[in-house]
Amino acid sequence: MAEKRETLQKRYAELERLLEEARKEAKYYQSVAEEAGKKRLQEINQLSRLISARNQAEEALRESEEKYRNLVERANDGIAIVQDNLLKYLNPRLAEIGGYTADEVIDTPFTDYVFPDEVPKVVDYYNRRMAGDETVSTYETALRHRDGSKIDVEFNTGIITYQEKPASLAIIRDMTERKRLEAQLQQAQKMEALGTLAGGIAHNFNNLLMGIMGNASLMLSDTDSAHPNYEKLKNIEKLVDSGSKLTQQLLGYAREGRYEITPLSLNQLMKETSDTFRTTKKEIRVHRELAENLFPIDADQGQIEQVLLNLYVNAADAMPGGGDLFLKTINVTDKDMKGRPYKPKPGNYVLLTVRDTGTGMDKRTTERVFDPFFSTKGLGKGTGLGLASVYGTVKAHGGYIDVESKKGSGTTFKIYLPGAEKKVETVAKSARQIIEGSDTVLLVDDEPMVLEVGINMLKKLGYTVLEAKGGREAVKVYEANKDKIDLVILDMIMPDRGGGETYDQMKEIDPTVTVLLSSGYSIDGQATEILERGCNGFIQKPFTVKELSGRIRETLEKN
Amino acid sequence: MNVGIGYCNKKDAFISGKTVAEIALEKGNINRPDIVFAFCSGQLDHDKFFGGLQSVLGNEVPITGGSAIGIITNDMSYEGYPSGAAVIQSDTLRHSVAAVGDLDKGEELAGRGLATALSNKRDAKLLLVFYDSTKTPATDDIPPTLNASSPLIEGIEQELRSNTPIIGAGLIGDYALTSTKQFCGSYVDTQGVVGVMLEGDFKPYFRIMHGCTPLDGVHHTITKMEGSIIYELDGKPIVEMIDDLYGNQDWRHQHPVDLLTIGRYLGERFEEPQEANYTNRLITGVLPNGEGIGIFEPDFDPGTEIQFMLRDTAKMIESAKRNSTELMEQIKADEAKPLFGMYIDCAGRAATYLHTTIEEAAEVQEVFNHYNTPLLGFYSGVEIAPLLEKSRGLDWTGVLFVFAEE
Repeated sequence: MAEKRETLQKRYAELERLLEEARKEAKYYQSVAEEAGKKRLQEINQLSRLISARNQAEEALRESEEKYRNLVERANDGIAIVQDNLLKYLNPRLAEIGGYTADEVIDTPFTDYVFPDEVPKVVDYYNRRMAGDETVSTYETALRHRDGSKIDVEFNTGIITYQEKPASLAIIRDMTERKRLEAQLQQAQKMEALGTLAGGIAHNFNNLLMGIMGNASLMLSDTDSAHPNYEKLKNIEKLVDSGSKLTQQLLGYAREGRYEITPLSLNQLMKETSDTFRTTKKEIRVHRELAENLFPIDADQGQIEQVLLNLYVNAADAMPGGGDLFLKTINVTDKDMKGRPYKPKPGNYVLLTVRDTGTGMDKRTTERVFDPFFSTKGLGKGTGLGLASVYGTVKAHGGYIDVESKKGSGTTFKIYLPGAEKKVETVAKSARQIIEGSDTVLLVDDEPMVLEVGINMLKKLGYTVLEAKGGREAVKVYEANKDKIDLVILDMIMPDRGGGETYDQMKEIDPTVTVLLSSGYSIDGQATEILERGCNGFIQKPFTVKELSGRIRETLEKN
Repeated sequence: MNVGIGYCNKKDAFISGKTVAEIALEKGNINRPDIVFAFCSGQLDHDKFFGGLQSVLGNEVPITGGSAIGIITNDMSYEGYPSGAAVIQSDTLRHSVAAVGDLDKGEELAGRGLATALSNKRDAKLLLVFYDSTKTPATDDIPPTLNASSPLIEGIEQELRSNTPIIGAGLIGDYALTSTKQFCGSYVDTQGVVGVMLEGDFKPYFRIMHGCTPLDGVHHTITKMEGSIIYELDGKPIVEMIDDLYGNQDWRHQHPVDLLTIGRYLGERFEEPQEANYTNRLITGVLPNGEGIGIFEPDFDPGTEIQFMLRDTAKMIESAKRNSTELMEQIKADEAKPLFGMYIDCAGRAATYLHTTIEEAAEVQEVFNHYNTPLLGFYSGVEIAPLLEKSRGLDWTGVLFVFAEE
């Protein structure tokens, strides 16, 4: 029994030991499992962070690639990569410039797309660049459009590594628009220079004409109409008048020709001028389509009439065997003038269209049509000033002019003139007679011939005349005689002191001074400024005795 | 049955709704829609999205669904402003739609209310449920409080006349777990639950995709827990245990925690672990005082045995591929025709969240494309599906179900 108990105790102790071992083993394996689990979690956590970082880096790379792809593909300049003389890449803009698709040009010789005349130069630069020689990186050249035409471009080139090999990267700028703008600027500068020249010539010429006109006018007033020289003198006056019209055209081109600005109805002017034109050119059918409620325009009536007549005459010359002349007016705004080479000022405009069915002009002639002294009418037949003065007058009125023409298909002129806010007023013109006077007039002019003839004319009209040969002298004479002088006739352009400054000084001496400005230039610009400062009137040289008498009375009576 | 799927990723919510509806109608060749399942990103204005859907579909067609972190169709995205819809037209599929609110005042009560409101027939084949996951959104310091699926399911089952399987989702609209919206047939609600009871001549097939493996196989017992907050395991502070597992405290900044989850094994204690026998719970984050962790569902109690589980990306992808393939093969073997699939995928399984390079949902997508079957899926907070003969709220799973014509 005791033996059995001892055996049981041993077995129990053995089981206890085994159980303890099992517990230890379980605990050991749990700790192993826990350690393994921990290690697994930490490794996966680390891996997860690495993947996260890689994802972020990939995202950043993707964004960067997208940014640069956008830069290249949306660039306004063409971009090309050339390697081993073959076109390896071109961006959409370059494809657009050349009229090709990327698929058809990739891996083809880049020289196929250079304008033939330019190939030697471009190849030379390319070879030198790829050989590492010094060469120009920016230069102007030309590409060949798909249709064979020439496209002016500017190349900006450099070497890059493309697909692990050296390649030439070219940034290609389409110069067509820039060239056009440059040409436009050159044209505008040329017109401006010619305008200044023309204005100066007209001014001097007007002074000469003033001398001839004044003397002829004085002689006429002393000559009986039965006298054998009377008609000859009248002829002189007529010839001077014709000369004066020529200078008006020159002044018109020089944008110096605006005289009296009033609100006008362009429709009314078109009706009147085209009616007159119709009677003289019966072989031309005139079609008018004039808009109702057309905006009035602020313009000089004489100048605009001259513009219209010049356009009609130009059309008639283009239709020697007769044809159709279409005249149209409509209201537009600056928004309707999109796509023009100029940027119009905002506001309302009146669009005047003059279209003929004549011979038309080629591109070269069309480009020069507004140049002064440019004429296709043959020697002695045209002055070459008609359309030049149209251009100048339109510009001087704040307007724009376009011409479209094609050889054999007629010509269309489109003139945009700013709409006026004031209504048109009808003013009855008064017929001028010679009106004499007994007032005292100070005549100021630096041209001795003009001064002399002016004094004679004034004396002829009954005025007491004081004279001054320049601005400085005029101020002195005026200061000494201010109580006696009723009117100063003041030349505007004088070498020692101009009319403006002279006027201001006289006004300081006597604020009530009455001054009539006279000039070989027009009222526009400097004269307008002096008038705005209080000067009382303006008369343009050359003038006749009758014109002078009327303007003096008008000025004196106004004051 | 005609099914059309629409997808859109636009910022304008109305346009998104309109677009997905138009695409779905066109793709499904549908002229008389019967029911719509629609989901949209939490970043979209849900009311406007709903309005966009109705502008195309009209006011009579019930629209069910709501917020989602992302959308899975033939397109897939959880970035930007994704939205998607499945529009169904069928003469044989019968449905009944009901919705209740005030989920935050009691999940079980809401569940009972929903089941009572639904057509409660014994031959119903499937109940789809979509509910608001967020009871109170997270603040900078405090993890969110979530509506629990377990009492909701319990409430529904109390009133159901049959053992109709329940499949569905707790909806979330973003990873910050802010408030969500539900499409309740004819209106948009929050703190709502919407149910669609389906019956008719179709057969539902479903699979649960898993993706977690036991970290170390060690069982721990919850010794202190309140609501959805676990404080202690085996009498030791759980937060310190997790610190020890990670080797640092960095995980404490994660809301929810990236890799580690809590799993409960429902099979035999010492059997070879079966993936399908686990219910996993996402760790929503650590309490600001570091004394406890929040889990997505408050369905564990003190005394419950749990294991630490590890998200296993490879397993997840393998599981998605294998289960979706097997499901479609099973349908084919049954000589049935798959008509439409819905994939309810835990938002934590998305590649961007997992820091992986492969989307597991792409595996499901590939299988559905292979079978030319329309698919609408979305990323959710909680997945509901039958597991071990009982409908349960799951975490970290993908639930795929397919309508098939017999």
